[in-house]
Amino acid sequence: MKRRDALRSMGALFAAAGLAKVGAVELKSVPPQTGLNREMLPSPVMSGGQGNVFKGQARATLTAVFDRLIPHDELGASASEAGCVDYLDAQMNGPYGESKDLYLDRPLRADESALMGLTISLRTRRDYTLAGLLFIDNHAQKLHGRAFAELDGEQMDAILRQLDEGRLDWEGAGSGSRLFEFLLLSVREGYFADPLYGGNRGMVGWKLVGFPGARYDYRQYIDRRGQDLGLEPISLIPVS
Amino acid sequence: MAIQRKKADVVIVGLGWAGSLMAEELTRAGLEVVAIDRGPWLDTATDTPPAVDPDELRWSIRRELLLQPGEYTLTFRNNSGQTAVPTRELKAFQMGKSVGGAGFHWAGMAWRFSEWDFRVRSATLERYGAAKLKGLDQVQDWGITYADLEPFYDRFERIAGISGVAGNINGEIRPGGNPFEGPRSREFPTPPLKDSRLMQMYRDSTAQMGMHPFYIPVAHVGSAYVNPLGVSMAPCTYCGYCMFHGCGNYSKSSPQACVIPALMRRKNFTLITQGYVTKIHKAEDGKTATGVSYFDEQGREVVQPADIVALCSFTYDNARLMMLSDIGKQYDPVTQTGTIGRAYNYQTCAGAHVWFEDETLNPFIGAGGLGIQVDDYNGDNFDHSNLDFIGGAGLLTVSREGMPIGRSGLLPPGSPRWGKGFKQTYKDNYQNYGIIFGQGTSMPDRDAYLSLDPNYKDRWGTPLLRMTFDWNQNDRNMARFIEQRAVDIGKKMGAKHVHTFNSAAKSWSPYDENSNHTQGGMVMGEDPRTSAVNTYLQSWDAHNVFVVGASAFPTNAGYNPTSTVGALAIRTARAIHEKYQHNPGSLV
Repeated sequence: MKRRDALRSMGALFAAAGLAKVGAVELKSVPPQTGLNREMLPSPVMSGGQGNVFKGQARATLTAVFDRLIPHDELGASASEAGCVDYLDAQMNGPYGESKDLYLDRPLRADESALMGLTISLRTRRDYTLAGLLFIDNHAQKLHGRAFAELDGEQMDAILRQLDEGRLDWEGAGSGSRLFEFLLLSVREGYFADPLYGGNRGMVGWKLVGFPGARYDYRQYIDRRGQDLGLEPISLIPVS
Repeated sequence: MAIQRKKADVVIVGLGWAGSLMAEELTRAGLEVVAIDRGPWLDTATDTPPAVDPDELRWSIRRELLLQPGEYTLTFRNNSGQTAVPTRELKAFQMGKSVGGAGFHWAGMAWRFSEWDFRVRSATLERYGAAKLKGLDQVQDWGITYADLEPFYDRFERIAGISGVAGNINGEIRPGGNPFEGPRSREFPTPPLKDSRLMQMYRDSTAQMGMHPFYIPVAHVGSAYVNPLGVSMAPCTYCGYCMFHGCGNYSKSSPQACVIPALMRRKNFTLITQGYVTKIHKAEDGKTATGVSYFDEQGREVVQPADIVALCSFTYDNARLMMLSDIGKQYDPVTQTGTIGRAYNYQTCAGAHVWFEDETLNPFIGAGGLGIQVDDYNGDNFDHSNLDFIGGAGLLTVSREGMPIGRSGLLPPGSPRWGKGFKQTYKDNYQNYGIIFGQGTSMPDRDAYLSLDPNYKDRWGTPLLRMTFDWNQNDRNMARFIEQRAVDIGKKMGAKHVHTFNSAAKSWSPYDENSNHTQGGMVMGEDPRTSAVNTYLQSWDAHNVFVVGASAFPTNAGYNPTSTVGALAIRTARAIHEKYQHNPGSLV
């Protein structure tokens, strides 16, 4: 890569991560702009989701997988009811999905995964997730002649259990369980992140465990050790 | 053709804790200082206010305040016989990505190392004899003592407003503090914060076991405070959004909160942001440096000449820039000659996750370093005569594990992680989890070192730094011992489940996130054959180059490194303006 290109992409990286505010400058005093930085403010995801990344069969598979990982039950909403599919769609549509943060230069040595202790893929997260969902769907077709989303709950769980327990590999040793861990992490993120990211709708995840959310001062509570404080959660945005 | 800037008295590479503290000393003494940081300007109130900071996904999980591997990474291998491969995802290597460096997102534990930590070799020989150092031939003293560094620890603590309880003031052991610590000249600048329920349980149980629990000294100020530079801070509010986060309360000490506001108002200080330093220029005689080169944001090469070069760019680039600039001789693990890259060391961690029944711990009330520790098994505070290792670990609990994404992965072994039963298990355990963390010493080893990678490059085509590291037998033995002490404490606390972890039980990888404390590679000492810098962190090979940071630690203690980095930086800066500038040459 040419140096200028490299630097341009570095600028893009800063922008992607929200730290672009002041360019390369020579500072002789505190920068005069003291207002809240626009780039630091997060971008809310509207409920309903844009469906930019997960469409058609991929969206159906993702929804089915997520709802087996966190099902609807007497304790509350399922993952998709809580907005986790919209959440991941928005994540995969931005810099996280593009894996701007990763070092993806080649070569990928054959022994890299063994040395590092986990299965390495050079795909972007977006491509990785789409390919992983396709693999799950194809596996369902092979076993049952139906799409994953059309299986019954027991059949879905059996496939997920195979991935979880490392008994179903995809693209090399350990790749099945890594795919499972990635999907599990993603659904947890959606269910427990601030609702502004599109999941945790109605703060269901926070209410489940009793997490008070985006509060910033517990000085009046620290002395009430061992007590149920009964704190209602609050989000960084007022509606979700 | 490179752009030439006006010559400065001192150029500082990297404006984190080390760089900002150096700059503060040097500008106050009247020197013209230019600091170059690879990151953008970032400040507390404008960038991480309470409307932005309480966001687990963005800061704790995505870690957007950290330097990402896409921008900067290292290659890694366990031993010299392997070909190193790049670290592609952010895990254990946790550098800052902005002005302020890792000092902006750190958790805040602010330790002094013990007296023993500075003279591991001598102290071990004195107490146990030479046999105890078998297989530990690279273990060496720092060349300075705790007492030498005490005034500078004190200065760092005053600037940062550290909250704590002194355990030893001028030799007098004080109740409530750490009885094993070295003598302090006075009490901490700000009082301790309050205990959480978990901290009280830990205090009670360890005291009943005959140990000596105390409040961890921490960079979350305990009261309203104005530091010696005139910068105001406000008391910590226990918000819990701390490690990997900024602070919107002026409560967590950072270069931005404590030093940079004073620094930026000095006429003899200039900061260049988004400048990526690639090289130190050597003078024609090869014995001194003339300045540094960097690429600015537009890709232009710029030369900043200076009489003195101070590298303050974290452990990795401190060593890498010396290698890229061909200053000194790189370490060779076969012949064991050369010092640049030698004696890389880490942090050996073991402990236990514990789960109680029917507790209400309110884990969302906390802070990055709000905790209780016992030092009864740290350093040489216990008899090692019948043990197969030297060193030990601070055993602590900390109240910072309340954020719900992270906590969703911390369930008792065997409980459902997904599907039916997951929600109930998580609900039942959210209020019942605690950690007992053993943060242990790390001894250098002949096959643990830093060098340049022959295969992988950064965006400028410059070789990545290559780390060669695995646990040595001493540290593995120590970790096994500490793991068992954590189990004892967990049982005493009445935990229903005690699930141990031991980072040294298998070969290390940078995807194992035990600790981000990485030291050595440019170690200090009294002998130029075994140290890269002298006891003033001055290069043995170019007397106007100073290499400041945890890169200078020849051994690592069972504590977090930051206060020692700060103290060394202040000590070095003072030596520069009191002695070196008047008579340039070796300070020893």
